[in-house]
Amino acid sequence: MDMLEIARTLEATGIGTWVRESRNVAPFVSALHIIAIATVFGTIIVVDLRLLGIPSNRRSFTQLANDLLKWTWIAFAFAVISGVLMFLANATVFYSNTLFQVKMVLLLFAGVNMYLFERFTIRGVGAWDSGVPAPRFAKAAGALSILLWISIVFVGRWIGYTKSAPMPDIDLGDALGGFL
Amino acid sequence: MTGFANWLESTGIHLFFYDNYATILPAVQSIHIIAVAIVFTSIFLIDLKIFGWAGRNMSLIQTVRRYGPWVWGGLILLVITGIMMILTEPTREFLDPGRSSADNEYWNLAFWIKMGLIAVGVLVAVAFQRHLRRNQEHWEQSILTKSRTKMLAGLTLLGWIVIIVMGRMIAFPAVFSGGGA
Repeated sequence: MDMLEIARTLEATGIGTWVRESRNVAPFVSALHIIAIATVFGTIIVVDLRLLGIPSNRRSFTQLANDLLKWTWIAFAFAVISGVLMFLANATVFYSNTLFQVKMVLLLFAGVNMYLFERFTIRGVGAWDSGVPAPRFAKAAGALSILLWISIVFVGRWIGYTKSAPMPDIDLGDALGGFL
Repeated sequence: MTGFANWLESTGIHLFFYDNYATILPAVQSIHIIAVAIVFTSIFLIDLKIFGWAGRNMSLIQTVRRYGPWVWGGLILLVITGIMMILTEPTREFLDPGRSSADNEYWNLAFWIKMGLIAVGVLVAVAFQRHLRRNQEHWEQSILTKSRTKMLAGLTLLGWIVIIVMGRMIAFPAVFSGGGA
């Protein structure tokens, strides 16, 4: 069974059909996806900025990370659930969509960046938890994370514009029905 | 409303956005989403502090000073990108183009509910910040501990969630009209 075959099977599942064909499910799933992304992005950026010393290095990094990252993970779980639902509804389209593949690779990079930070860089946190700037590696991880997540949001939004044929030069209402 | 939308569609700035539709609109929407993230997370973190679930090493006023400016900065970014989105597709934002006809206009309910809730949300935020600034000690010692305060914080957070949902629903007027997708 090749990948396209798998995508076809996924699309034909009860859940895929349900999301694709009911009038209200897809809109609310995509709204949930936005709320989840907003929380993931926002909480991660606050932690990343703290690594970069913004607004300052005064407060404990571990305290901030403890306060925020649990919400990042909860929201990430919702982003994955809503994302999978959207994928199932149009699996054959997403599977062959270059921007979708780019987004998945960027997510993987963000995950690796986070893993390396949690696995290695965080070990010495005692020395820079508060009052002093974070070391260069920690700052680099923060900056890279900000860049990756901004890219993920942009690429994610762009997927919606590449799913269907290019904009025809006709009535706005009809034309837009196609993308969304 | 149809007249106003039609007038906007005759302006040069609309034509510029519309002619570069496929490049400008997704970029503007992406910035809008990032600004939503900034505003929503900042409000969320202030509410977590009010719930007592985060920021225990900070006072409420410190938390508001830390995240409040991000709320207002993010809101400015939202207004700018929001206006750009309206200028690109005024009819689709204000009206339900699928149902509206020459003599019968249907408003895009999600858009107008969203605008109304934003007005309420901003008023609540301004009132909260003013009251906190003037009654700092009272807030830290008494108001913050009341369960009514936490309930109100939860309610405003819910309000902002509804605003985000309504924003997404602007693209799906059929959810409200019950018509075909």
